[in-house]
Amino acid sequence: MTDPETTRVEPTVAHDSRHPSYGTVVTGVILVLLGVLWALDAADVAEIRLSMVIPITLAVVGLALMIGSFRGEHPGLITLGVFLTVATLLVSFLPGSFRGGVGDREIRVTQMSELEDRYDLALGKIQLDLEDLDLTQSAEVELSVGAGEIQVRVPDDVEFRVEASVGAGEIQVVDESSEGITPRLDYTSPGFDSASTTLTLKINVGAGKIEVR
Amino acid sequence: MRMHVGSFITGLVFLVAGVAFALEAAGYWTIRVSDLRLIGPLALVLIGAAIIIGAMTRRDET
Repeated sequence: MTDPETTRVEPTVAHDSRHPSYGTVVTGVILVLLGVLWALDAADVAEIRLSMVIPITLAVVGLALMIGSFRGEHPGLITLGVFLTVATLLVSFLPGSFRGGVGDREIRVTQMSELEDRYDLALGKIQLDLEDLDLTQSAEVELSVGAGEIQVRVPDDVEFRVEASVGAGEIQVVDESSEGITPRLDYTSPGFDSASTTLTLKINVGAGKIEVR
Repeated sequence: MRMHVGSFITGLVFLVAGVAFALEAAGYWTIRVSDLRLIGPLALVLIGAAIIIGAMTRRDET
């Protein structure tokens, strides 16, 4: 006969299959919220943008993880969060960089009416020649290329500011330059603050080169 | 009740990133590609904080 003292088994905390796991409940809540938002968008009640839904979902997962951290690990939620983080970065940075087609574009602007607010290209080169532009009022122009190059020629008699950033590559603005991974260069011409009409260029390239002269 | 520090810090990172990009999408500020250079140092700070909090939590339990 065995000794009941020696064969006693320590009680273990078994998962009760009748109760759903924390991760399952959170996933369900997120899906319900996404469904409601989608329905609102489909019914034209509200305009729901993907660039806002994904980060909000990420924040909800983060909050759920913080609350759930008092109940142990939640690898499923962490995996979901990692996917949402990647999706957030893609949605935030790619649409602006990867639109506008493919190829090389040479654009020469001489009048204000021809100047657009932004120029986009997915892959290739934008050459924006503003050298002969008659700048009658201050203007702001955004340029974006996913992979490739942006060259801008600014008028000699115009004071200008450049806010340039590249994911990986090189930036040259007048006599200043920056290169490497995520280089950024902000340049302001000497008389910019006192000038009556100014030109502001916001330039972003995913991978490649920016040149302003 | 013992807190799982790794999950808490990871959740905090997701929450902050989610709110930051949601505000960016709403137009409250602009996050540029070049701002991603901050990820490295921020990750280092958070890993360090997680180690410190984890160590303090274990010490409190003993």
